[in-house]
Amino acid sequence: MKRIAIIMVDDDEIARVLFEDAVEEAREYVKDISFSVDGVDLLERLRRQGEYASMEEEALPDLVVLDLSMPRMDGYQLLEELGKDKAFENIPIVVMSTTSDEQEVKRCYSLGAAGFIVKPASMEERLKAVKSLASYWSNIMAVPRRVSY
Amino acid sequence: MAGLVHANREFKILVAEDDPEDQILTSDALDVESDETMHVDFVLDGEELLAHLHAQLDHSNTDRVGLPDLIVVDLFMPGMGGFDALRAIKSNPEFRSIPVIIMSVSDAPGDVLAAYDRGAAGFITKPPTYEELRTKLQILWRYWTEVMILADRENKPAPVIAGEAHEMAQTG
Repeated sequence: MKRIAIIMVDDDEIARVLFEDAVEEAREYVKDISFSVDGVDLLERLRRQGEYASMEEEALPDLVVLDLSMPRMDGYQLLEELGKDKAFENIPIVVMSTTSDEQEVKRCYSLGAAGFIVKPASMEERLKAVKSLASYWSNIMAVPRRVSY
Repeated sequence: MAGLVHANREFKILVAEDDPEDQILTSDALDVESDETMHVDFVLDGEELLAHLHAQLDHSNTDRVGLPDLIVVDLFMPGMGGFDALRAIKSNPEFRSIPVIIMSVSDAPGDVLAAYDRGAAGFITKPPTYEELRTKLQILWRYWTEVMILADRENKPAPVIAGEAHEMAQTG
């Protein structure tokens, strides 16, 4: 088991704070949690980090958790952009959305998402979801190439 | 149980594992007998795995209902091994959306990469002790059953929050 670095992408500050609080309860699996406010922000950041990736393997995150509806670049566009870039193909992307519309779920998976979660509504559910997410990815070897279904 | 569950439907896991002792350990670790929402089937190698999947297609009236929600494959099995089974599953349009987890005693980087290249959803190492195996399988199981919403839900009831599922069960 390794401790993982997570980047959570959400334009809603409250969602980010709640996620961070939940991560604090799952610290045994998480070495680092940081945030981006939208897709443009995340891409810029990953590209910056990617430049150093060859020198320092830890530069890229082990997991990205993604909101779907965001200004500037939404979750779908971001999945598409990440899919185009060879440098990011090994980062698993889990979508966190308020809905679980079937077409939406399928679209995310077809764009290469590694998972789809409904945004937990209560604190109890949030703790459970974040803990499950973090413990799972910290037990998974390396990071998977993203698979299209 | 909190988290996401699938109302009126059990979660099916198919485990391909040739070692009978490991089958028993896996079954115990997942606490199969005390969990009514989980159904675990075991097959012995890749050929049996594919035969099992095809049989689900043939025999179920509602098409894909009998297919597993998650497949866990031991990498080293006699006959058709884990890699060939994985490739066969991922190249079949009927089966490819089922997430496949590869389990191996070794974490050789070549094996890990080869597994992901062939479409594995994850690669886990078999821990040396039963306690660790239990922890690992419980983590795996909780992630896929309680948290994730899977890609292929065409003929399956829509996932609902546990509270609602409970109410639905009570009102019949």
